[in-house]
Amino acid sequence: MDSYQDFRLDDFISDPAFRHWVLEGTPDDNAHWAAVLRQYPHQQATIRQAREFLLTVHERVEADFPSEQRVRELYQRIQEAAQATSVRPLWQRAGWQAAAAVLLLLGSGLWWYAQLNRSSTAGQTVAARTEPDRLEEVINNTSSIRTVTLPDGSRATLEPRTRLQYRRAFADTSREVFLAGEAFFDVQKNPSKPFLVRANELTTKVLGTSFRVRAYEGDRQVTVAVKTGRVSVFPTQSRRQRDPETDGVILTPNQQVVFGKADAHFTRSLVEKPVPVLSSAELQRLSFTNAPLPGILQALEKAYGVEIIYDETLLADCRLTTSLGNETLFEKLDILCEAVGASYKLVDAQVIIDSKGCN
Amino acid sequence: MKAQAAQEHEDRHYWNRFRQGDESAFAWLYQRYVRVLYSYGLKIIRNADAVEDAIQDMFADLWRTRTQLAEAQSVRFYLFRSLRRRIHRSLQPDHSLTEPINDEYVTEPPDFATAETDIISAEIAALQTAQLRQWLTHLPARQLEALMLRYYQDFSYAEIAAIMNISEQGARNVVQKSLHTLRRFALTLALLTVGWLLKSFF
Repeated sequence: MDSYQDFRLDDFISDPAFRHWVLEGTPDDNAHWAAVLRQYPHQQATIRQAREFLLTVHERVEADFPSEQRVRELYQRIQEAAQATSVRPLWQRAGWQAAAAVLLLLGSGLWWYAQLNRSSTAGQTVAARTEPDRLEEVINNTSSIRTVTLPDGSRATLEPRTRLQYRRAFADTSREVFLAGEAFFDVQKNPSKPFLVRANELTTKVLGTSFRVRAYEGDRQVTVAVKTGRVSVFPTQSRRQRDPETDGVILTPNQQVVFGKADAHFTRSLVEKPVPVLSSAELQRLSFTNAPLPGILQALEKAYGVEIIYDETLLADCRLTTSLGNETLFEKLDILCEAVGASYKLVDAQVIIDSKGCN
Repeated sequence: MKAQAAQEHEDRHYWNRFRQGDESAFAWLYQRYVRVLYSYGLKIIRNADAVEDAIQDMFADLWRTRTQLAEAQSVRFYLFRSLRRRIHRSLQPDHSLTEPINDEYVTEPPDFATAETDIISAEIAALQTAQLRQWLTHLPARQLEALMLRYYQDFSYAEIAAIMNISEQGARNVVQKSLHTLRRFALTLALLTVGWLLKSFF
């Protein structure tokens, strides 16, 4: 921590911890760097510049990425170019029997023996190319978690007793995986290709975000919990064939939904440990000195992306001095309610404050 | 750093499978690297067709010669170096490409006189980002290429030296030069900002 005091611009942008914060920004990162900023306020400008620099370099690099169509077409040309100097297409299509037939016509015994040897490898390539729909399968039989990187760069972290299947090269219009068990997904953003998780009759659809799906085979429920981004969850077999999404729900960060298979019913609630959705810098600005409780609750709503229901006039007389750190939402609510003699309960994905006021 | 080691380990696994003729492993490697390679190619030369041709030839050759390939310590490094070599080779006099690789400034550095009037009508923070974006565009191709290798791909200076075919000290110099340029721009902007603030009070 002490070396940060003298860091210059290039020191920050080379520092792995700094890069991780700027490019991935987990709550742990936010907490760490908020502390650094507090301890070395003279570095604020440099840190901001370094952050801008990294983000701009990334943006510049990614602005030059090819379109998905171009990527597809390029791969096709690569396949054609790669085949140009190998076995003629005729042989590959027909397999070794056709090769034998033509060879008999040509009447060259030696050549036939050579072809038999080559056809085994040709057959392999054919299999790979005529079965593009074959599913890649990853099974986690261990007792610890296992991470898989998917064809588009997204990551899936599998719990024990979990199986994940996906097509080798994701399709043109969507990225689809099949889950039996529990996994956490960190999905690469791609608005042109939605990412679909099919699990036990439920489909979760995202464009790019992170969330957890729990759907063990034989379970009567499927649970989906969102960490970042927005997620659309709907029954795979829906009455609304044209747009099954309208039969489902949209989840925002810190929300989760339990889908009961028997009655196709969605129960929405908050996750067990809601984490802040704002950045550390923004959280820092939310501090209060002898402020009325309604204002604090509003800040809390913004910080966690959660709706809080309370009686504004009743609570206007309750004053507190506090600030928002990285505690979970419920820890914070416990502290606040304890201080003013109130209580709260959770209904759906909302928090309801119950109090007699502060007189 | 640990995540990078894990990624390289994964790459080696797919690289070995591809060498044994597994086309899905080949497709996996393609999907993982084609986008950054494409972007990298465009840093070296602003000609999309040339970059596409180079990538196409490189991957096609990889597949054709797969049985002759060795194990790769770092697939990522191998692909970047390969692509750069290919693009440079294709720019020999007998090829008809109109955009030369330019080690001098690609365009004139920004005119600070007009930048000053822009400040008056824009938020300072937003402007800094916009200017930074613009200044990155004004960097000589070589410096931009080095920046991408160091700060996007996180290659070591030794690797950058091998990819760009220069010495390790040379690699450090290019990166330092580009940061120096950016710092100079940032300082100039800061001075202009102060100047504007003073002006707006009188």
